[in-house]
Amino acid sequence: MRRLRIRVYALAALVCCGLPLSASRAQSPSAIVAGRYVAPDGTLVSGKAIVLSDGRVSGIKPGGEVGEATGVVHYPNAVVMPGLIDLRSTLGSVGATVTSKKAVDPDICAFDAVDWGHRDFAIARSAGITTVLIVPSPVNLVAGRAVVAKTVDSDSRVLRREGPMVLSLGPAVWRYDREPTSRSGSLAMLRSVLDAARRGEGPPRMQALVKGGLDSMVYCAEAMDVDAALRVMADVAGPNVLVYTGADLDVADELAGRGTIVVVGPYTFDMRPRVLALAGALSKRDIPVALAGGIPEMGRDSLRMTAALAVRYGMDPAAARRAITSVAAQAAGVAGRVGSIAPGRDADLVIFSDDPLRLDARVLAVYEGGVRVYADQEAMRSASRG
Amino acid sequence: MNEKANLGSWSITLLAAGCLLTMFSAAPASAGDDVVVLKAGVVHVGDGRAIEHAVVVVRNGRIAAVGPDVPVPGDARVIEMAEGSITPGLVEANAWVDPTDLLAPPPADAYTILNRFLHHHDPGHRDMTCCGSRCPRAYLHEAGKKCPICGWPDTAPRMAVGTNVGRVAVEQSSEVVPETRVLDGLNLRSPDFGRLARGGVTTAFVAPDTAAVIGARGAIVRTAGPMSQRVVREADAVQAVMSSDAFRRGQNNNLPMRHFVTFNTRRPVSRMGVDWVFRKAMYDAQRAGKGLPVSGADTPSPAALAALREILSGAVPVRMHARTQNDILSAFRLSREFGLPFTLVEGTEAYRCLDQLVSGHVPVVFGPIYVDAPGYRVYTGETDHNRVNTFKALLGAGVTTALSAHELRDEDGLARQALYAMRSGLKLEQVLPAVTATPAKLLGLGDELGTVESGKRADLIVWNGEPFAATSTPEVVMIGGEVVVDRRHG
Repeated sequence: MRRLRIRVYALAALVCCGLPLSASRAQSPSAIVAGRYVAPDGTLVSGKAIVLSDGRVSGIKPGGEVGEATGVVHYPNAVVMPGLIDLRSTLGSVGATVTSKKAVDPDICAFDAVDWGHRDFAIARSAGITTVLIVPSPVNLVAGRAVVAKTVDSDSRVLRREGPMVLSLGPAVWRYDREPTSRSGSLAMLRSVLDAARRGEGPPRMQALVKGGLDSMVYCAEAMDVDAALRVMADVAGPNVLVYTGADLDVADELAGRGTIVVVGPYTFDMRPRVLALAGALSKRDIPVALAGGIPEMGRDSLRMTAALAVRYGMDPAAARRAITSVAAQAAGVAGRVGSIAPGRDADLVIFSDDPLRLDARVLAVYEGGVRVYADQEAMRSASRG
Repeated sequence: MNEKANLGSWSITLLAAGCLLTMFSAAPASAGDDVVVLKAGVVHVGDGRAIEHAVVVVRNGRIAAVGPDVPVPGDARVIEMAEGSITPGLVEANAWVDPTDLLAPPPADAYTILNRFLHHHDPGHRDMTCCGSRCPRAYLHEAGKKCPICGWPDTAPRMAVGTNVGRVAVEQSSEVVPETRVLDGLNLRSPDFGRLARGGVTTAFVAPDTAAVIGARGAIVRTAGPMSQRVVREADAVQAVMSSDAFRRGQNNNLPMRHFVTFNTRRPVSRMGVDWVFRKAMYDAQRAGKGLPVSGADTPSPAALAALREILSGAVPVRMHARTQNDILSAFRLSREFGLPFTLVEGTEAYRCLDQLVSGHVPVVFGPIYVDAPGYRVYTGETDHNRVNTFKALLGAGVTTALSAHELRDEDGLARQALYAMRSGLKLEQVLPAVTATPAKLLGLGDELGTVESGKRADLIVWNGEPFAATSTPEVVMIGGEVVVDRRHG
C-alpha cells in the first residue's frame, strides 16, 4: 500500500513538473509560427516564423526552418499582427483629463490622470490593443503633454511619460469665461505664444516646441483649422501630427508631400460617406494616415471597426493595417519600439483568427514583451478546427 | 537722289512696319497661353463708358484687349451672349460671411431659427433678471427697448453657450481686439461664398461682426477659384463700431447686478461707454508708445496695444460703423481727436451729415438699401429714419460711395441693391462704378480690378440682359480667367 502511494505521489510530482513546462512554452515562446503575418508594409505574408528573444523580435525566418523546436508555438490558419495602437484613448482616465481653466497649459501631463490598475486595460488587451496614447482633453489651445503606454500590467509599461504636446483648434477651445471665444482669438493667441517662445520667453515646453525638440499633435475640428495649423505652425518644425475627421477631402492638396501624419477616426457606421472616404483619399495621395479608435469610450472594437470602414470606403487594406500599427506608432513617437514586426522591436503581437480588417476575425492571443497576456482558448480551439 | 524718292522709300518702310505690327497683334495664341474670348451686345467698362458689340480677349487670367474690332485668336474658347452684356465682377466692400454655415445644427421650426438669427435669448428666460427674480414690469418688455425698472435686456443673464455665440465669429473676450484677424475665423469653404459668386460678386472685403468697439482686421478674398489664390489680403482695415451694436451684438454686455458677474460684465452698455472704451484704448496706446505705464479699467492687452499703435501711426486703415447721425458725428469727433482718417460703414442716416462727409473727404461704404430693415437691424432701433434715396443723396453730394449688400444674398444681394439704387433715379453709369471700380479703389485694388480694361484681372460677369435689370442674371461669372459660375446650359 505504501509503495503504491509513493508511486502515485511520484507520478503526480512528475505530472506537476511537466505541466509548468508546457505552460511556460505557451507563455514565453521562442518563436511563433502562424498561417500569415502582417509585414511592415501592411501586407499579409505566409509561411514565416517570428523568432523572439528577450522580449523582442529577433528575426523573421521561413516557417520550415523553425519547425518543431522547443518553445515554438503554432497558430495554424491564424494571422499575426503587431499589437494595435489606439491614438485616442482615455483608458483608466475617463473624465479625468478634462480641464479648461487656462487656454495655454503646456505643463499638464496626461500621465497624472491615469489609474494604471484600471480593469479597462485588461479589456483593451483582449481587443488586441497593446499600446495607447492618452491625451489631455483637447479643450484648450495648448492642452498639455500626452502619455504613451502599453496596456500590459508591468513597471516598464510607460513608453513616453511626456509624449506629444497636444494643441487644439476649433470650437472645443472656446469658452465664455476665458479667452479665446472664437477662431480669430485662438489664432491670435497661438501666434503670440509661439512668437514669445521664439524670443526665448514663456513656458520652457513651448520654447522646446518651437525649437523642434518636442513633437506636436494638433486637433482640428474643420478643414479651416487644418489650413490654420499648417499656416501658423509652418516654421515650428511641424506640426508633426494633425487630427482631423471631416468631410473636406481637399485638405489632401495642402497636406500632400509635407510628411505630416494625419490621424483620422474614430469611424462609426452612421457617419457620412464623405467623412468615411477621407482616410482612403488621403492615403491615395501618399499622406501617412493613422486611424484612431477611442477605447474605451467608443467601445472595445472601435479601432478595428474604424479600419474596416476605412477600407470599405476606399482605403487600401495594407495602408489600413499600417494605420493601426506602424503609422500610429510614428504619430505617437514610439516607432522604434512598437508598431511593426521587425528585428529589434518589442514582441507586442496579436494573433487573429483571420485578416484583422475582417470584423468576423477574433483575437486568439495577445503577447506583450514576448509574454502572452491574453488567450481565448475556446477561440483557439475553433480556429484550429476550421 | 531727290527728296521725293526718299519720302517714297520711307513711306514704304513705314507701311511695311505697320503691316508687320498688325500681323503681330493678330498672331494666334502661343502654345501654353489660355485664351478665352467673351462677346456680348454691350460691354460696360465700369467707369461710365459702354462699348457696343465689344469683344473682350482674356489671356492667362488677364484682360488682354477690349473693343469692337479686337482681333480674335483662332483657337480660343468663345463665350457669347448676343442679347446680354459684360461688366466687371462685383466688388463687395462690406461682406458678412456666416461662420456657422457648416456648423449650424439642423434647422428647427421657423420660430427657433428666427430667434437665433435675431439674437434673441431663450424665450423662457427673457424676462428674468440675473438673480432669478422676474421684473415686475416684465409684460412691458419689448425687443429693442430698455426696461427702466430692471434694465432688461442689459441685466438679463446670458445663456453661457447659447444661440448668440455661434453666429458671431469675432473674439469676444475683450471689446478691443485689433490684433485678431477675420481671416483666422473665416471658412473659405463656406457655401456662402458660392452664393456670393452666383450673385456676381467676385471679390469681397469680409468684415468682422459689429460686436467689438475696436474689432478685428478684415480680410479681402475672392469668392471662388483655387484655394491657393483665394486670399487677396490677409489683414486689411480694422473696424471700430460707434453704433449700439458694440453692446448688443453677440454676447450682450451687462451691468454687475448683485453678485452676478460674467465675462460680459464690462463696458460698454451705452454709447457713452463705447466712446470711453475707444478713447481709453487709443490713449493707452499713445502712452505705451511714449513708454509710459498703462493702467486702470479696460486697459487693452499688450498684443492689442501693439496693434493700436500701428493704427495710430496710419499703417492700418480704419473703418467706423455707424447708423444714426449722432453715431456718425461721434466717428468724426474721435477721428479728429486721434488724427485717424476713416471710412464710414453703413451710414443709414448719412443724408443728415452730407456737409461733414464732403468737407472731411470721408468715403462711405453704404448699404444695404431697404424699406423694412432686414435681419438684426430692425431690433437696434437705429433704422427708424432710414430713407431709400440716401445712396442717391451721397452720390449727388460728391461723396465717394460704394454700395454694399452686407449679409444679403441671392435675390436680395448686391445686384439687387444696384437695381434699388437705380430705382431712385440713378443711371447704370452712375451705379455700376459704385459696385465695381469705387470699392476696388477703396480696397486698394484699383490697379487690378473694377473695370473691363486691358491689363486688369479677368474678373468678369456676362449677364443675359442689361446688368442689374429685374429680368437679368449673371449667366457666366469669371474669376482670374476661370469660369466659376455657368448657368447657360440649364
